[in-house]
Formats: sequence, structure tokens, C-alpha cells
Amino acid sequence: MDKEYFQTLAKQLMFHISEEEAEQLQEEFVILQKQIALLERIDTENVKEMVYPFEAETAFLREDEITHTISREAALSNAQAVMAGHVHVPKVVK
Amino acid sequence: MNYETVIGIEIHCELKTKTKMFSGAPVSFGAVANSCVNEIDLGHPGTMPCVNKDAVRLAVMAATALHCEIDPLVKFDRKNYYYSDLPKGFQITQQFHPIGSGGYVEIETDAGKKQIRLNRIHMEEDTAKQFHNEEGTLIDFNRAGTPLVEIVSEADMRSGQEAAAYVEKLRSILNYLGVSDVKMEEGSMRCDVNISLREAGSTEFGVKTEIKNLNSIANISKAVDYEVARQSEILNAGGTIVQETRRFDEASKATVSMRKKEGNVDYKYFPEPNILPIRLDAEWIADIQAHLPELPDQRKARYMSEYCLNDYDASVLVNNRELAEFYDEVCRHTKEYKTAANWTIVELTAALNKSNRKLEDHPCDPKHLADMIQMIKSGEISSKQAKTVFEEILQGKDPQSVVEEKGMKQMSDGAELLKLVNEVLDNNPKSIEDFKNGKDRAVGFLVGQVMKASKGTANPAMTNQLIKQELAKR
Repeated sequence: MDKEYFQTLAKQLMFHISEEEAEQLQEEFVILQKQIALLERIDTENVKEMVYPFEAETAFLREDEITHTISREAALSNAQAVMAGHVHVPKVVK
Repeated sequence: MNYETVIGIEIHCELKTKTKMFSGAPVSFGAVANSCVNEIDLGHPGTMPCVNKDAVRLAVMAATALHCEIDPLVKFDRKNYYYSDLPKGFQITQQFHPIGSGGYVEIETDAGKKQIRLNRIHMEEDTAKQFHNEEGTLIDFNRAGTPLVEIVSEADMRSGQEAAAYVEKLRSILNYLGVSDVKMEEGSMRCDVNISLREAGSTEFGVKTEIKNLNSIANISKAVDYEVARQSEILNAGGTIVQETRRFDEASKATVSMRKKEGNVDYKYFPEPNILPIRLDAEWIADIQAHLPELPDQRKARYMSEYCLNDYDASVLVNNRELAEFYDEVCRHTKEYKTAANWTIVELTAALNKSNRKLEDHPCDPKHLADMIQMIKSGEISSKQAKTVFEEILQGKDPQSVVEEKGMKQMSDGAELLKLVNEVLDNNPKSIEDFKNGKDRAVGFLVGQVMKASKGTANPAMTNQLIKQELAKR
């Protein structure tokens, strides 16, 4: 996995990473791959994959009651641009 | 070449809950943008979805009414894609374990009844609403997380008419159940139609196009008809159909291309790890199923058997739930079911159309209409007078006071009417002579004269009878 691989991946996921960050990721992934190699030694033959931490079923459903909303200001505070109370992004349709 | 049209429909319906599918933020239509959201709807890190019990209840109701098999183990999955209306980067849906499987919707076609099979009905969350203008795209997250059911049909429809009938029937069922507002024009019910053509007799599917977001039932039929003509023309010219998403343009009554679909998009579905499988209580499901409201087909059958309405009248009433509820209320106060149906279907509908109002915005009281029908039956007022009384009922007045205020009471007092009849006879010796010479028409003339003298208040049946009685004496 070279630096270009991480740059391409970042581009596909639509965020920017610097040269240094790409290098750092590359180094971290070397360690990560070694750790994953350790996992590969475990015999998983005939073992079903797990999705949830517990196998138990639950029965809980939330009552349909309004709990809370956040303020409009708070909701919009992370947006890079706001227009007329809406999140404003570059046009997503032609 | 002779082609067969193959149509399958996907419908998204917003469920009528107070809060969102996975959060306690309110569901609202038309609220100030971005004012009905919380951290869960916006997909903030560390938030956990929590399933809305009422959304599940409504989905169970819908699945039951659509004859689906219910899966009592509720599981959710993630559908991953990147788009500005989807804050988490994935939609929580039920890809692998829909709450309802199979089932059908029965429609009326020219060739009789037809069952349109359903593939599934599943729960999911709605996306944010986007507005596109010159300067960019504006996003309102109020809709994000609103509970939805998606109902997927099998490709069982063969014409625009059948497609429209299917959506109309489904809309009616969901409306009677009260699970959704089903307002296509407001987007609480949205419809995507998949259409392909194949050589008649073939069992393989042709390349399909998908028409998105049709906002009325009339447009479904128009869009399908247009698309069938367009695809036939291409195939007849030796061309091939491009798999794409199209939309219906109302102005040109044509479908136009939105985007090409290069094979199936990989949504990388996987089970939603933040929601553990939920086992629904069998008794709870049974209780929901045992208390379903009356469905349109059941109501139509009841109108025909209990109220002796014909197929047409029963259908007209049932197709408009508000009108049917009004009619049922009228029938609680009168046994003149057929008359009540006529007034509701003809006069009330005409008045509503004329004033461009909905029944719910009208002060008209069903009991008042029932009372008026009773007054016609007892001879208190004539059918002609009733039309004037009805105008006032529409304004919220009760018929008894209208009749008194306007002095409209039909003259049904025997002595009073007899006096008037004799006065008219005295003044028309020629008509008496005509009658004796066998001219029955004279009676009609004399009835007319009595009506004129009474300013239209004489009871016509009684007048007729008294004139014949008095003529015989002379």
C-alpha cells in the first residue's frame, strides 16, 4: 500500500489528506496488517460471523413521544455555509 | 412487433407518527427548516438509533391489510451511499428481513378483478429534503429520519391503467388504515415505476427504465403510456433501451432522462450493528391484527349489503374516505340510505367542488342532512324546497330553523289545502269541464294552479289527491 493508494481512497471518500497524513496512514497500516495477520491464525472454520455483541434478542421499542430537538442554530453550526436557514452546498443536480 | 408491457412499482409512504423512526424528534410537514431535528437525525458521532414502537405498529397494520406474512423478528440493515440528503452516509432500512413478505393488492380491471402480488413491505428512514436553485442546493433536515414503509410490487402490471389502479387501491387501503397521510402532492406517498417491454409470449424481462417521483395518480397512467410508446418506437426502429432513471415532465407530458444507470449500484448492505434484533410480542401483533379499521373493500361490501347501494354509488363513496365517513354519519340518523347516498354523492360533492373546499373545512353537519331527508320523507318539505334548505345546511344551519325562518313549510294541512283546492276549482270551470270530457291533463293544470296560489308550498301528492277527490264531487 503506497501513499497514492491512501490519496485515492481519501479522494473517493471525498476528504482531503496531506502528504504527511498519507505517510502516517501508510506506517499505521503496516502495523495494522501485522495484527490482522495474527487474527488469520485463528481457525474460523464452521464459525458463523457475528453482527451483534450479544446473540440475545431484545424486546424494547421506544414509545412514540417527542423527547428533544436541538436548536436551529446548533443544527446549522457545523455547516460550512448556511442560506435562509438551510445547509447550503454546491448544486448536486445538473 | 407485438410487445407486452411489464410494470413493477415501488412506493414510499411516510408513516403517521409523532416522532422519527429512530429518534424522539418530532415529525412535521411545513415546519421552519431544520427546526425539527436532533443529533440522531443529523448522524452525529456517538448517537444510537432507537426504534419507534408506533412506526412498527403502523407497519404491522399495513402488512396485515396487504396480506403479507409478518416477520416477528425485526432487524435493520445499512444501505451505504454518499449523497447530500443522507447525513450518516447510510440509510437504515430492512434489506434482509422485511417486516412483511408476499401479499397482494386486488385491483379492478376491464377484464375483471386482478391480484397484483407484492414482493415485500419494509421499514426505513426518510432522507433530508433538498431544494435546488441557481446558487446551489439547500438542505432541510426536518424530513431526515421520518419513518417510511416501502412497498415493492412484483412486475405484475401490464398497462398504465393497471399501474394507476394499483396505486389508487394501495393509497385507499393505507388511507383507511390511517397509517399515512398518503398525499402524493405533498410527498408523503411517493411512487417509482419500473417499465420494460418484451416480445408478447416471452418470459424474459426487457431492459427497464425507472420513472421517479410521480406526484399524482393521473400522471402515473400518462407517464406509463408515454414510456410504452417511447420504448416501442426505439425497439421497432431496431434500437436498444438504455437502463436509466427518468422523470415525468408535466408541461410536455413526456418522460425525460435524469441519469443513466450503469448496472446495479452496490450499496454494500450489511446488518445495522447498533440495533439488536427485536422480537415482537406475538400477542401484541395479534391485537393489532384483530383491531384493523374497516378497509375499503369491506366498506363497499357493507354499503351494498346493508344499505342496498348499487356498485357505482358504493364505489364513489368508498373512493373518497371523508365522503364515506360523512355518509356513514348521515346513515346513523336516517334509514333512507339511497336518498342519503344521492344527496352526498350529487349535491354535497357539487357544493364542495363549487366552493373549492374540502369536507373537513365545511360546517355541514351530517345529522342536519339526515333530518332534512326525514322532512322530505314525511312530506314536511318538497324535494324542490329541500334544495334551498340544503344550501343553508351547508352553512351549518339546522333544517328545522331554516324551514321556519323562510316560512317554507310545505302546506300539508288538509283543511287549509282543501280550501285552496276549491278556490282554484271555482276559478277554473273550463278545466272541470275538460276533466269530465276525459282530458286527464286538466288535473295537472289544476295542480299547477294550486302550487302557484300556495307559492310552491302545497304538498304535491296531497294536492293531486284532493283535486281528484273534489272533481269527483262536482
